Amino acid sequence: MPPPALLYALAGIWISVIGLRSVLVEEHFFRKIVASNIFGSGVFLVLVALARRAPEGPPDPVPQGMVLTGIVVAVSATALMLALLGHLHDLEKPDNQEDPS
Amino acid sequence: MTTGLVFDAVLAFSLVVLAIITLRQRTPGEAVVQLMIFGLLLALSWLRVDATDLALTEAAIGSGVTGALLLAALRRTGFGKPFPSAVSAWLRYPVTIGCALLGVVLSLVVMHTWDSPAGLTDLAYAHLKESGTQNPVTAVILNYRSIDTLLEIGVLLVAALSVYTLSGPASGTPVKPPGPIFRFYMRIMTPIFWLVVPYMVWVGGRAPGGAFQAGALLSGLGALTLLGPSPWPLRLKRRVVRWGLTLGFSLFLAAAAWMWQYGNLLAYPPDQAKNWILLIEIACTLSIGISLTIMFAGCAGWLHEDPKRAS
Repeated sequence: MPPPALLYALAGIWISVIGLRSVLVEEHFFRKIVASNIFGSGVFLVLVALARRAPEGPPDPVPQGMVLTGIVVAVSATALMLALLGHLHDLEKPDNQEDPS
Repeated sequence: MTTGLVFDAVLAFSLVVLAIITLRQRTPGEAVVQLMIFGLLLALSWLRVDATDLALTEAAIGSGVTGALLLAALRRTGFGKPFPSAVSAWLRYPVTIGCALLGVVLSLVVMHTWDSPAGLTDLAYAHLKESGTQNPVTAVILNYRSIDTLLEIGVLLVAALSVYTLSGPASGTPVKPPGPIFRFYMRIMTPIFWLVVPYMVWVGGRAPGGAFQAGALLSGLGALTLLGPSPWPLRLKRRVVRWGLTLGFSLFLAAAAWMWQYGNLLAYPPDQAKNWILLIEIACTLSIGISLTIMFAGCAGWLHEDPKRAS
């Protein structure tokens, strides 16, 4: 019988692979942003599952700390990508020319 | 035991399916809602592998704040517009095959190395008494590896400032004035938030919780306030905003410099560790809350004009 954490680690690998594919292939920026979030979530799931490799005792807090840091960095990156996307959207609007200054 | 395993198998499988469904949605709005559901189920799966701290953070930040940011950005760029179906065909097949190979290789690696001795658990628990906290995850992020967290707060600050700089004059669609239900909700929720946020910081010392979860909650309150009857303008001209935004990073940096006299950057002496960690957590909670609220307002295009005035 496989340990439960192994199932989650495998799921995490495939989620990140699916996300990576969409980041590379999709052309719409918004979909790329959603895909990069899924890519990141998959990586986090792998790390969290690897922290639970020992079937008994407490889980390894070091990968857990890394994921905690990663979640915050991921949300910062998402916000920055969205701000850039919004800026691009404003620039592309034909009726609303950005002033050159 | 078997019931648990069936549950884990179903949950792990549903996560993969949900990821695929999320990426196949036709419109941005649907994709965001799917992503938030995915995030909540992911948090549930982390409870199954004993990562309660992370499950809380993922539910609050990974699903909640990220979803709010994406929805806020869609106010500017449009919910209902379907994604263009054009996917570069010449790229699609090689990339798909490459990614599938990567997945197979990674799966084999994980399965083969699964039984190798686990990492740093023993070392982390051996020094827990000197770390100034009883929560091993807090000990990792605010003591053993606090330099990572210092840099992370720096990343958050830089991202918030970049979003602030990039958000132009108000371009979002005007906010509807809040209705009676929303006002009622705000009246009940605001004091609850103010109770839960300090509790979350305090409890992080011995149980799951801490600055990130509390900061995410604070930003939830910030976002609600922005939507509410008396929005609070988040301009950097305001001293409160400026100081609040930078407090976490500057205090953390000051702590790092102060520890230099003991020989090492951010190596707290064991008897002072608890107070330093608590002080840094309080400051970081405030800064994380303000940073995330600025990101939300910036993505919605509300930063340089009152949402109220726009309506």
